[in-house]
Amino acid sequence: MQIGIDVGGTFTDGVLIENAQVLRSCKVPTDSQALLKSIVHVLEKLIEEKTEKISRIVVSTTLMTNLILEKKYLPTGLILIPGPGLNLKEHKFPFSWEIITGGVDFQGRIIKNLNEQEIVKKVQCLVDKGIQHLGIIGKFSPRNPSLEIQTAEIVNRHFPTLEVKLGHQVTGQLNFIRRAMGTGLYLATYKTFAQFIASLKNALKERDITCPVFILKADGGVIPIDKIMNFTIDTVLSGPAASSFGAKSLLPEKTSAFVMDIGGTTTDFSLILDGNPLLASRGVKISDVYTPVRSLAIHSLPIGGDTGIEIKNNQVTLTFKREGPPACCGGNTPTLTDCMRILNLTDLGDENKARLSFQSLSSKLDLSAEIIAQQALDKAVELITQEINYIFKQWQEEPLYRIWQLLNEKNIKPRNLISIGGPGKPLGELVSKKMNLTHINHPLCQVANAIGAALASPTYEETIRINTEKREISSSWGYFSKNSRQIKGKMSAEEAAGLALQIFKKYLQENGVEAQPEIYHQEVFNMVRGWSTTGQIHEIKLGVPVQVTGLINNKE
Amino acid sequence: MSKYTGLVFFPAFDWAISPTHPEREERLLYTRDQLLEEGVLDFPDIIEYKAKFADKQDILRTHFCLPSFENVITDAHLIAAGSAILIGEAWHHREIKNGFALVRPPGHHAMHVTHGNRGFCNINNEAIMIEYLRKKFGYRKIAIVDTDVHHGDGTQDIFYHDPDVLFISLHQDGRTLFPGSGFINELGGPNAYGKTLNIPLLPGTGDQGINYVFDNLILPVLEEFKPEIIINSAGQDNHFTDPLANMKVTAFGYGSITKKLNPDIMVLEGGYAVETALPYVNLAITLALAGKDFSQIQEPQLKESMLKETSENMEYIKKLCEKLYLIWQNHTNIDLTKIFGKDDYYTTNRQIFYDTDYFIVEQEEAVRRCSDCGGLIIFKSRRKEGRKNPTFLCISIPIYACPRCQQEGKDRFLQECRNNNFEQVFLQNKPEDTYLTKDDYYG
Repeated sequence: MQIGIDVGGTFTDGVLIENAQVLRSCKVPTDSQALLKSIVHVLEKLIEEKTEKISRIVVSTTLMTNLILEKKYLPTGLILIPGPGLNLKEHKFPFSWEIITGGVDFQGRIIKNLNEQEIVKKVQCLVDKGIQHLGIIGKFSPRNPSLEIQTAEIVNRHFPTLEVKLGHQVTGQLNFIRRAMGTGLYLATYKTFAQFIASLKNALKERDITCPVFILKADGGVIPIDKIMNFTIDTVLSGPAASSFGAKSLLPEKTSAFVMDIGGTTTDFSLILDGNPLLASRGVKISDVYTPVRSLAIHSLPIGGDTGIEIKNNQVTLTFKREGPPACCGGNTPTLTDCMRILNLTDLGDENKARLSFQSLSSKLDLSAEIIAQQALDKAVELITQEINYIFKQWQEEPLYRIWQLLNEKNIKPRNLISIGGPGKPLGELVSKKMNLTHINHPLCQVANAIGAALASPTYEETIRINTEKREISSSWGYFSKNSRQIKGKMSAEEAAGLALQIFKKYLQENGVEAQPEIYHQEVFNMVRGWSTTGQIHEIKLGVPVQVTGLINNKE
Repeated sequence: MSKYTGLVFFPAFDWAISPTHPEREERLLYTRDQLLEEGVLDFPDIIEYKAKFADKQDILRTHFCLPSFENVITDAHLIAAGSAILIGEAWHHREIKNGFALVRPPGHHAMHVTHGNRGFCNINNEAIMIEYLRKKFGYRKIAIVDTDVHHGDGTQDIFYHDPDVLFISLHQDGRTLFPGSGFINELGGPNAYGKTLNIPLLPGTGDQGINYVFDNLILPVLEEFKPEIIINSAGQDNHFTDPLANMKVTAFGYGSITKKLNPDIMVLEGGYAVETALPYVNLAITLALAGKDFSQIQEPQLKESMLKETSENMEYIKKLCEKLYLIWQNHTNIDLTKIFGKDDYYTTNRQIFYDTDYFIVEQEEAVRRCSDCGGLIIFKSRRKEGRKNPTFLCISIPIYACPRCQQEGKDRFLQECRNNNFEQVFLQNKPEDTYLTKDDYYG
């Protein structure tokens, strides 16, 4: 039996699954000040008998998302080594930062050296501002981390109490700004995150739960709880990923569908193509923070069941924010849910209370509650339709850099819309009708997010770069190796792939992952200097593909 | 006015002329790395577009492809040209305030009649975009500033007779570099005299020199010409590290002239210092277009001493600019019969060297003297080697042709199809946007 728990902003959902059947599910309100309480609450509801054999638990938590949105940061500073290039004043960081001399180019060559005195002076400036955590991030550090490492040595000597993290340890992907942000976010949140993980482990121990426990990442992959401190920021936005994977498990194999997850405050959209949730081409952007975190392609609209209805310029419109619970459920203001209640699209709560909340709107416009409700709902449906079309267009317009890719473009047009979450069914039906899509919704859609978490497995998509001229290997997760004896001046594609797989397998082992990696794509660039070939750059994209462990086949 | 800068990046990582050719897979690899690492694509005011294919029609509107379309064009060429069109179209629709087609393969050596690859170019991306924008949206006055180190002889050839297109090329003196043309006496045909300006610079010219040329010649001329669109053929081989040329311009220099010119659309041309120049120049250009600070970009190889021009060279540049500006100011007051004679058709003969594909083309070009339009153009073109190489006849009716040139072009096509003296007869009827061959005539 396996358990999936998704701690969302409003509710915490849980499911107990055995042999592709959801045996139990539950939903409790989330206490944002005490996430652990909600998790324990769900666990207690799911596990009725202590004797029940739980083989695996996966938790998706909104903790990291909350910390970033609320900017609950520990005092963190950044030392940046940009070298020549873009003026950093063109970017914004939510941390104190200083620039030091030094530079590395795209091949990992050092083009400017460090200056120890300057480093001490600049770090002292940050320490004077009260920082306790220091990120050191160099441009192109994944191609050669030595300046970051040397800087850290100098900092350790002069400021031994500072907690230091290096950019290339956080991500090996190219994007200096996002790497700096990721490093800062890690440092600014890791203590809070560690506390949460420790107390979660404790709570499980107290309940004699000894099975493997995993935490869900934004790309729908999972990490064993003991290794999660290397991946804290990757857990941001794991909730929408859980929903998308849950939706996948409720659809027939190889289906393409739009996924619409309607919560109280927002609606999240994602895309499943031929049975695979679509990954975003760039890292997660959360409010105004650009991160290096790989995630599904998720779009959000500030429209949900608790979104208020108001009148502006004599027009019915939405407030685009949560106005507390719907009036029909005891709230004070009219919401989208009340519209559906009035139009008999849902039997949630008390219809009279919903109507009562519409009185002032009705008298202002001199229109019946039904008409106002219909207009508000039309507006929501219109905006959702636009967003879905936009997401699809974005996917189709994803830049491609190779002729074969442009010649072999996939031409998939999803014909299905699967709706998830409380007000999902009625809104999903309206949107599907408008867009001429088949609407999919069955009772388990209410807990699709928890199902997605329960079934998630480790997934990876990484890049390894081998420079045979410099005999260096770098990777998208920060692994770097110099003077490797395994590199020959000229390597065949097979040799390069073999070496890449060997390195990647070791990385998987270190993370406690048992899975068979695959090569996704591989290319080689001859480096020509003057008129002769001096080496090669092999770029190998490899990983562990998404494999949701089995489809759910509960009878409707 | 849109606030966005558009970028279409197509490095064609799976295309090369040959494995060690400068025009190979690796060329834009480090440019990609630099743009990604700097986070340039994360700027909310920079939009990246996906590369697109051009249609056959878009190519035929600009070129005669000999012996046939399929013999000259590959997928890579269609994508580079299509991407230039895409940026032009986004600019027209005001989605972007300016844009950069950072694409390969390049195009500015491809002439009106193209037999294959010369100077690494098969078809002319900028010209194809220009004719597309003019045909679809009715633009007329266009300025092209070619900042590649090589003379943009292909673009010059295509618009040599077009009075509405101002072509300005600055380049390393043709006596010292391929293609060996681009001298100050190449000023346009009889119907477009003065609408081609060539600025041959001495080897070793750097930032100071080209900035002077922009301030004292190019910008004032553009100011007076008042184009509807300014296009920059953005070659990057004036860079001090380029292996194929001998100039001394820096990435910062390229950024400054981009800022000065403020082009609507830029299209990448040459530039083969794949490590030492391209990542930095492309970054500088992109930032300059987007109105961001590029002053901290500095190549590792750069030395202060390289930044100053010799006084002899500055003297040469000053005189050159004065002379050309004088020509520009007086170009409408010249007695053209002294240069082009009085015949109805002005006819020239030339040999064109296809360096990449390694053959020579013999070509006769006849342009109808016309005061109402660019004039009907008729080419007779054949590859020289081998006695039996056939001759092709190409008839081009310009996009804003007068009724007389249109009629004469169509009549000539029918007549030549009937006479059957040529291997193939092509009609490029731009006003009607139809592109025919003898085969269409015989059905």
